[in-house]
Amino acid sequence: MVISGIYIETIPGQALAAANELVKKEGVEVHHIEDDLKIILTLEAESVDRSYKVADTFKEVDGVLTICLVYSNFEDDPLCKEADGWQ
Amino acid sequence: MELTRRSLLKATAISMTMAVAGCKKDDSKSSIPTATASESVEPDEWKSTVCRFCGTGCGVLVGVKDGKVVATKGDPDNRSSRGLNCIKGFYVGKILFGKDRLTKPLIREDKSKKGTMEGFREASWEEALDLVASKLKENYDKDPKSIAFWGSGQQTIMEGYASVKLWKAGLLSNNIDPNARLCMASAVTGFMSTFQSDEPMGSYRDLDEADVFVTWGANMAEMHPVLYSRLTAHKLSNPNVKHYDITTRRSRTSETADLVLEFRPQSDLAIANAIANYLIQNNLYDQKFVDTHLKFKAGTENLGHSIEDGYDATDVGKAADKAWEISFDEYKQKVSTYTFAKAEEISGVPAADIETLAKEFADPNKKIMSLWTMGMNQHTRGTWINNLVYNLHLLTGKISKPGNGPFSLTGQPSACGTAREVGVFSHRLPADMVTANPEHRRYSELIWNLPKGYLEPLQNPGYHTVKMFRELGNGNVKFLWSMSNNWGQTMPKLNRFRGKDANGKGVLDGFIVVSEVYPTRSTEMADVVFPAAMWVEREGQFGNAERRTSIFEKCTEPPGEAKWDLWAIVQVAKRVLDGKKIGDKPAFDVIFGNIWDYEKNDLIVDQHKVNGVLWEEYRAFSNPHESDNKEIQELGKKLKLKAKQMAPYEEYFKQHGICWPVRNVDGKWVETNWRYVHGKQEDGYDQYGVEEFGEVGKYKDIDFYKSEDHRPSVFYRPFEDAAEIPDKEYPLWLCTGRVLEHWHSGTMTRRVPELHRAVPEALCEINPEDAKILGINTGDMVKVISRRGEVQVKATTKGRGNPPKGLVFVPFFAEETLINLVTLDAYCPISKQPDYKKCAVKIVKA
Repeated sequence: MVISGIYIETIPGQALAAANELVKKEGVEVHHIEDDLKIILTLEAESVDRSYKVADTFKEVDGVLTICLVYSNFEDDPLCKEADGWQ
Repeated sequence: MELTRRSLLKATAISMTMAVAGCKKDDSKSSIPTATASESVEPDEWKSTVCRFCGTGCGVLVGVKDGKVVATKGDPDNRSSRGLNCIKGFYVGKILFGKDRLTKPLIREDKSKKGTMEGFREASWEEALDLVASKLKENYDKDPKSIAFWGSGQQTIMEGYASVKLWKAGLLSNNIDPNARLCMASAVTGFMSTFQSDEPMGSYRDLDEADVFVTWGANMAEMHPVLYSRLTAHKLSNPNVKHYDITTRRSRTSETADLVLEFRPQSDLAIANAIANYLIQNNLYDQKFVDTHLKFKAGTENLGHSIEDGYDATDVGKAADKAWEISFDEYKQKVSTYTFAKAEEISGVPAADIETLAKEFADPNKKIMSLWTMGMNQHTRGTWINNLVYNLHLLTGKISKPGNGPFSLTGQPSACGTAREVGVFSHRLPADMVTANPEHRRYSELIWNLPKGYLEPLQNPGYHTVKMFRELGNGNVKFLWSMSNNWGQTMPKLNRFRGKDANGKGVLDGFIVVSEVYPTRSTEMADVVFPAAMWVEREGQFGNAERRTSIFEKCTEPPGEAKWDLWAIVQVAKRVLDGKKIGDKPAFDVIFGNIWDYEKNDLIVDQHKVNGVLWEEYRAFSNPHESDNKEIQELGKKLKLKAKQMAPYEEYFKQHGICWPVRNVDGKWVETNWRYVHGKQEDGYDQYGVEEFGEVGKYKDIDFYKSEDHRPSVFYRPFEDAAEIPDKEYPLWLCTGRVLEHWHSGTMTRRVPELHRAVPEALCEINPEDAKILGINTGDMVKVISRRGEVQVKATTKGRGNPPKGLVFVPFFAEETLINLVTLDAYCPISKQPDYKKCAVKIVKA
C-alpha cells in the first residue's frame, strides 16, 4: 500500500464538519483535529495514482483551504516497482 | 507481518504530519511507534534534498532503500517550507520513473527529420562528445559570435557555474543566457536599477507578519501553494489582515482576496503611479525616510517595442536603460498627472478601489508585503512596473522590516541561485557583477587565475535569449547548446524558432545540442541529445526566492547511460580547449584542472568532492577577506562583495539550507532574513553588513549599503501601452500561464499519469459573454489565431480562472497545444524579457 500523511487546514470552525466528509473517502482515516482548524489524516491506496485521485477530491470538501502532503511511502507503487530494473 | 508494517507506516505518517502541522497534543487513534519499531519500516536512510519544481524551495527528505527512492517527506529543518510540500512535491519522487527516460546519447542522422524525434541513432558518449566539441570548435574558430549556450534556472548552482566558467573564461564568449530570462529578467533589472543589488531584501518570514498582502500579477494559490497556505494561515488567524489581488484574470488566488482589482493588461503602470501620486499629494509618504534614504530618477521614455530584430541597435533601444537623477519636486510634478480618475480611465479599475489600496500604503501602522511573479515580469515594461512597486514601498518606508517588503517570487527552483547568483546571463559575472565593469572583470580574473586583462573581450554583452534565438533563426548562431530547458515549446513566436517561418530557417541548419531527461519539443530540434541525470540522481544545489541556498544529496543512480550535466560540460571543455593556452598553462588545466582526475583522465568521480571544490571557488567571489591575495581582499572590499557572502559547502548540509548573506558569528554561520537593516544577526537582521558597509543608527536602522550613495532610486516611469493591442481583426487579449498540476512545459509532470489526468489537456478559458457572442460552448474545439500562428484547443467557460470579457487564457504546459505558436516575442527593452501575458488574438470555432 501507498501510505501518506496529510495535513489539511480549514476555515476556522469548519474542521470538524470537513473531517466528517473527508473520512467518508476511500482509504482516509482522520487521526486528529486541532482548534477546529487543522486536520491530520492518513490516506491508504494501492498506488500513488489512486492516492492522488482521492486526495484531489479533498479540495471539493466545504471549508478545506489548503492540503499539504507531509509524508508518503510509495515503495509498493506498481510503477516504482517496475523501475527496479534501473533504479 | 503486513499489518504490522502497515500500522507502523501509518503511525509514522501521523507523527510526522502532526509535528509539521504544529499540533500540540496527540490523541490519535494509532500509537506512535517507538524508535526501534519504526526502524523496521523506515527506508535505509533519509537524504536531505529540495524540491525541483517551483522557486519556493521546499525541503524534501527522500527515503532510499536498496539504492532506490521509496518515500518522501517534508523536511522540517528546511526553514523555507518547514516540513510542508504541495501536490507537486507529493509526486516529486515518482517523476524519476517515467518510462521514456533518455538513456543513451542520440546523434541525428537525417537532418530532414528535424522537428521530430525521428532520424536519430544511438551513439556512445565518446562519439557524441567528440562530435559536439568538434562542431563547437569549428564554429568558434570561424566566428566566435556564432556559438551560444542556453542555460536554466533548473541547472544546479554548480552546473550553472561550470557553464559560465567554460563559456566566459574558457571561450571568452558572452553568448550565454538562461531560460530565467523568460521569467525573472525584469525582476533582476528592477532590483538592479532601483537598488543596484539583485534579489529581495525580505524573507518568507514576512508572510507571518504582514497586515496587508498585495499580489500583483501572481496566482500564488496555484503557483506557490506552500507559501500561499502560509499567507492564508496568517490571514485566518488575524481577521484584520487584508489581501488585495491585482490581476488581469480572476484566479484561485482571487477567491480568498478581500478586494480584486481587475485591470486592463499593461495598465498596472498607471495604477502604481496613481497610488504614488496619492501618497505625495496628500503628504502621506514617509518624509524622513525619503530625506534619509532615497534619491529620485527618470529614464528614457517612449521606448516603442522590440518587435523587429534590429531594435536593440536603434537609438531608443540603445538608450532604453539610461537614467538620470531628478529632484523630488520634478518627480512629484511628473507623477501628478496620474490621478485616480486617470488610472481608472486607463485600467478600468474603479477609482475607489485604487484609493482603498492606496490608503493601506498610506497607513503608517500597516505592514505591507507585495508579492509578484510573471504578471509583472513578463511585460514589455517589466523593469518599469518592478520599479514602480518598489517606489510605493520606498516612499512609505515599508521595506526591509519583518512584514514589510516588496517580494519577487520565482518560478524555477534555482532562477535565483543559478541564473542570477552565478551570472548565467549574457552581461553578468558571479555575485551581482557585470562584464561591462572593468573592476568586476578584474576580480573574476583574480578568482579564476587568469592573466590581467584576459576577460577584456567580454566587455560588451552577448546575445540575450530572444536575440540568441532570432540570430539562430537568421543563421548567425550556428552552434547552440541548451541544458535543462525546453525552448522548442516555451519560446514565444514559436513558428520562427521551430524553423517554420522564413526568418527561422537557420534553426534547421544550425547544430543544436540538447541536454535532457525526457524527449521534448526541443530534443526534436536537436542534432545531438545528451541524456541527463535528473534531480536526486546527482548531487546539486538550488537557490530559492528568499536567497536560501539548499543542497540536495545524490539518492540514486541515473538510468542507463544518462550522466550528470556537469560531467558533460567538463568533457566538452576538455576537448574544445585542447591545445589552447592561458598564459603559459594549458587552458583546460586553468579552467577545470581542480576537478579533473589526471590519472583516470576523467572528471573526479566523487560528486561531493567536485561540488565542494567548485563551491569553495565560487565562494571566493563573496568572501574576499578570506583570500591570501591582497588585491582580492582590497578589490573585493571596494566592490562590497561580502554583501552576498556564502558559507562553506558543508554548512549547507548541516543546516538544510541557509539564506545569504551568511555571516560567521563566533564560528557559527548565521543567515540573514532582512537585508540592509541593523539588528541582531541571530534574529535574522543584517547586523554585519550594515556595520561593515553602512552606518548604524540611521532612520529605521536601515542603510541601503549596496545602493549608489546608499540611496535606492524612486523612478518616474510613465504608462506606455502594450506591444500589440486587440483591434477589429484580432479583438481579444491572450494571456498564457501555468496551472497547479503542471510545471512549466510539462516535460516532467506529464510523465506522471495522475497529474496528467487531473488537467489532461490545455483548455482555453473564455468569458461566458464572449463565448455566447462567438457561439462557443464549453467543450468546443476552437482555433486561437494571431498574426503569427494558430493553435487548436478546447474552450471552457468553467475553467480554473475566470477571464474578464475581452481576454482569453491558455496554459503553456501541453506539448500538443503549442500556444507559443501564437504569442509575440516583443520584450522589455531593459530586461529583454518577453511578454507572454498579452498579445492580440481572435477565436473561431475549429
